[in-house]
Amino acid sequence: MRKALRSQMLSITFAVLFLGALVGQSFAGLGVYNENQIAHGSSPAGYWEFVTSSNFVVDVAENWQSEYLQFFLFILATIWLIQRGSPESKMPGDEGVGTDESQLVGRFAKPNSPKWAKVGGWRLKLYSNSLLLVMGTVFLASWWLQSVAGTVVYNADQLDHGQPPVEWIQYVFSADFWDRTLQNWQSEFLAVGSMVALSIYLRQRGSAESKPVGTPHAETSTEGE
Amino acid sequence: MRFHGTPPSLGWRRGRAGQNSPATRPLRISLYAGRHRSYARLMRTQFSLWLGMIGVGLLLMIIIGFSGR
Repeated sequence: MRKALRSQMLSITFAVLFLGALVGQSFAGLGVYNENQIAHGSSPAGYWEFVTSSNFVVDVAENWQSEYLQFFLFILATIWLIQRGSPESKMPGDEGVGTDESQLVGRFAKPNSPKWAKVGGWRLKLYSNSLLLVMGTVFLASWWLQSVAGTVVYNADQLDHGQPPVEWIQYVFSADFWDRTLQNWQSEFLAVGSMVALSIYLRQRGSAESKPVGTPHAETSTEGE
Repeated sequence: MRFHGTPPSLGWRRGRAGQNSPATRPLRISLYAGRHRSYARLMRTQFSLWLGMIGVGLLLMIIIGFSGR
């Protein structure tokens, strides 16, 4: 059982890190919120009141959407685009969705292939794109949530300063919405782009995200042990 | 998932007939099957936990966002 658990440690570790960081964010966010409340002569909020407010939701959602967009675009782009020398890329010449034989679907499926990879039709089509569909759905849902919670927070600020509230659609075209959105997108695109480019020449021994240390720089699509 | 060789703890059971002895094969297969089932169960649990965590997170945010708080 311990051996079996050890085989899941990558996702367990990130689940623990995620929950720890989320709890940390909630306490730090409460601190900032209450500093602001006191500065405006309002009463400070309790922990529960804060974590169930749009102030907390908008901060969580804007980060979720950018992370899921990052992976959505990375999964999508790596179907068609290649980067010679990067372990994150397919081999030059392999661009595209691949043949049924290379994808082990339909009559090329193995006996232990997933059921929907064997059946064909709409189920095969759906399953063939399921990762992209889920990442894209979470991106759109959290981006939409950022806009809904963002409208509430923006309007509370407007009322505090004697300004009229805005409708959701006005908020979606506001500078505040795009400032929150683009400040997250730029960092995601920077991180993905630099990961692709730096991994051509740099190595991390033992990491699945790196080429083995002695791999020639021009070699593409060879991941570590 | 492929099974690579006999687990070390079963070495003593190989005997003179070697590791393909019919006497040892059923035990090896059942150990492998047990481990395989355990991995499969944990992988399914991981998948469900992550999808559930994302789903519950989104649902809570929808409820809070639309409560207008």
